[in-house]
Amino acid sequence: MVGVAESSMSQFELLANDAIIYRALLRKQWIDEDTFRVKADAYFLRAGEPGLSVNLASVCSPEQCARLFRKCYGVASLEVGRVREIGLDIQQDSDNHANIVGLPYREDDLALAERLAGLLAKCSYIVWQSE
Amino acid sequence: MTIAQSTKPFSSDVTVTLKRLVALLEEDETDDYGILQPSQSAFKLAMRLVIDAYEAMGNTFLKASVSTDEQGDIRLTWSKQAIDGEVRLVCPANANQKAYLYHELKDDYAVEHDVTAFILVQWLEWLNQA
Repeated sequence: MVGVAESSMSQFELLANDAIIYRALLRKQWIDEDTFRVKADAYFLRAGEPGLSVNLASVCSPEQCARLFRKCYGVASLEVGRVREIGLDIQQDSDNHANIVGLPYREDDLALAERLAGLLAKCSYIVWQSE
Repeated sequence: MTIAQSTKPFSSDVTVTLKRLVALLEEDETDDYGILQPSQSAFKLAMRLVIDAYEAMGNTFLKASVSTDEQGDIRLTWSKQAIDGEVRLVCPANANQKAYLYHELKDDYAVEHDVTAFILVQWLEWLNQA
């Protein structure tokens, strides 16, 4: 028998390693003003968040992703396989949305939270920036 | 140490860092993500640590990228991309909490608690020499 949780999880197919996800950069400070790279700041879990919110590039453009938010300063692109390589995973929960899961809260494991946030930042590429 | 008490003429990198910290105070109090403007205690601690570190390091002090997290903590990041190294200083919004410093070089990383200017200088010099 398939439980409710398992049933809802299997509603979406596993994302392929070469799938692209977008992380909306909701603060201009998340972009290093000297290197123009994404900073670790963009990849910390807030209290109560089950995962880091991302959108699927297969169904929305970077501009469409940015328009989902009242203020968005940029959109970073990540490859799903790179996220899995660092020990995290992506769980799709709607047609255009997923969560990066497996990150610890800073309260639970500060060093690992900082480390993983930095690794996610390193595999991020800014594909759209506000003017 | 305050800006007025500092005996050294400021280099451009420390000036840039201090201006970036001051600019955080001009942000809106909050945004959709959380608290945007740093707390007074986070700001004072960040300013004091940066000025004291500069007093010790002089022109080897490199500029930091600064930000606030959703709780009003101040984060300062010093990056050296060529060697995959980074030092991050986090000054807590709540004066009852302690600052911490994260450092990494390639696959090695750790957090230092109870940060003082001396510890910050040690790790910034470590990054400079790496």
